[in-house]
Amino acid sequence: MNNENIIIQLNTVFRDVFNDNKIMVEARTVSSDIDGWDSLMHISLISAIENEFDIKFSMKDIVGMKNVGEMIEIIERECRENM
Amino acid sequence: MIFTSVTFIIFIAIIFAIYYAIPKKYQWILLLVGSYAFYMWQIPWYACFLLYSTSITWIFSRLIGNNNENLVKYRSTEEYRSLEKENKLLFKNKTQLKNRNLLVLCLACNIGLLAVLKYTNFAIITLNSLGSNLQLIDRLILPIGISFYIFQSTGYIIDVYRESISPQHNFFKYALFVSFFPQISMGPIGRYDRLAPQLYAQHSFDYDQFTFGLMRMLLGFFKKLAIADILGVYVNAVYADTSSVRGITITIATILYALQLYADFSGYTDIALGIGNCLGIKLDENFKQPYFSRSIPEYWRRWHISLGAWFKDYLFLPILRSSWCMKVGKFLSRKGYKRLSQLVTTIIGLSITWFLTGLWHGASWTFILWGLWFGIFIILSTISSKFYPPNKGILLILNKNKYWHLIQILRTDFVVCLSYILFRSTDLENLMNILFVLFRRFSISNSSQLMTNVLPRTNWALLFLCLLIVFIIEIIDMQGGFLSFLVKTKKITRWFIIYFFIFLIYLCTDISLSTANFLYFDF
Repeated sequence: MNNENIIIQLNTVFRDVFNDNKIMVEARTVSSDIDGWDSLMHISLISAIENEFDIKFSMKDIVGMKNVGEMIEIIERECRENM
Repeated sequence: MIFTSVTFIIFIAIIFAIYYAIPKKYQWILLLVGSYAFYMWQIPWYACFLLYSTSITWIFSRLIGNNNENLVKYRSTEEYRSLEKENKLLFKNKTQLKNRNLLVLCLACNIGLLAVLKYTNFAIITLNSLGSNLQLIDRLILPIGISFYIFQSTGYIIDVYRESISPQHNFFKYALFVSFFPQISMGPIGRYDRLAPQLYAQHSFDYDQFTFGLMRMLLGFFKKLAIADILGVYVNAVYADTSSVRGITITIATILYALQLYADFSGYTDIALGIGNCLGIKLDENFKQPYFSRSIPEYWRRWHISLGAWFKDYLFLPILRSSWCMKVGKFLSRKGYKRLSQLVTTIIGLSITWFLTGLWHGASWTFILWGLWFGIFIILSTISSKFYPPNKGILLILNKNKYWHLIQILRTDFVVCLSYILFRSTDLENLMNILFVLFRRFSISNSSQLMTNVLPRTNWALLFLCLLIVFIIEIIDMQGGFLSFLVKTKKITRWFIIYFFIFLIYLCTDISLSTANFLYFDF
């Protein structure tokens, strides 16, 4: 799965979790760019991404990711390891 | 050693002088020696607890680190590559289980020490109220900063366990990370990945950074000596005998206590961060104008930031990600309650987190109630944001209105001030008495008499001038930073402002006549 496919799927998850169809995420998107992206929503988002991509994030990844770009890298890594 | 004592000023002057005079590779050793000297100044044997926590955490971090290293080494061997996928996973899980056991043991040793020293008598009192007849232990002591350095150590070992950081191999370097003197008494609770590299780095003298640090320290002294200690004179007088005062007096004292606590704690933080700047070390910010927050969750992202972040990263998120919590969520989802499942797990996580946040502040039911008070408001805020998203409908229009912001700020400060009644009460009986006075004897007559009895009118005028100055500083801080603004001003203006602060501190220390300790020292 390449980065472009991941970001398209990720955007759908973001729109669903934040209930906002205007969201357009990109690699440099950070939590302050999206209304309501606090620690609670972060966990909801992580669970939704895990379901979507059938992967499991570690606590190191959950706490450490700084932007959507890092999120994509982790998703790509986990998908690769699952194959 | 108290930050506002003359001894401390001499101490840091000596540290600064030696720090920049010795070869840079020895700077971290000086900081370690200085940190232990600072900690052992008043009661030397308290360092035994610090040394115990440091040693335990360091040993366990090395053991966990060795297991991880062995796993990485084994992964690069032919033997590992030839294993089936299930066996690879089995090997990884075995290492993880080993590390988890080590982590639990380390946490038990560290948190266990804190629990014994801080909560034994509280447990005895609680059990006695339920019918037991146990004797209180008189000889229990609470070493300064223990709640802070144990949390810092705990954060470190969890980070090693999560493989977010590599363990420090040098025991003495790790000891410096735990004991660094500006932050050991009252935080900010440091994170190893941000703080440690700075502690071990070699620093050259930087005039701009050094003077910036001194100005930040001056601001801290101003908040503590010119505001917190003077407000403390009135607040302490009111809260010392709540049965003989009126409700309005308690109300005023509680509002002033909110200001005292902020001036005291953020003043300490300014001094700590200022010392850090002087040494070329950037400590984490702990406050971002919390009384301008528009909601309680936002308030907790701006008040005692390092503690809130600690509880979020090392307790709240792990609870939400724990297998039992996720099972509850999945069970409700399967039954068709998807939105409710998120809400229930969040409420479980928040309730545990805020119960423990309250308990961390003190071994008393009033502190636990204080924590739960915030927990309730954060849960309510979470629920309301699910049903009324801030980016939709009327709230979207209101959120763009400045007057609505002001109403939200006042509403938040009202809830925070009410929480301080719980925070300042000595026990449940005292709390009941305060609430009785507040609601049954709320008379505005004679309310100013105690104020002028405790402090003359001229001193109140001076105090309100100092409060106004801090208010203006907070506003400038929100626009980009008061000290950055001060640095950019003309030299003559800058020095005038600095001397004006020193003059105010001189006037105010004459009023309070105290060398009052910082409020968070007790935690």
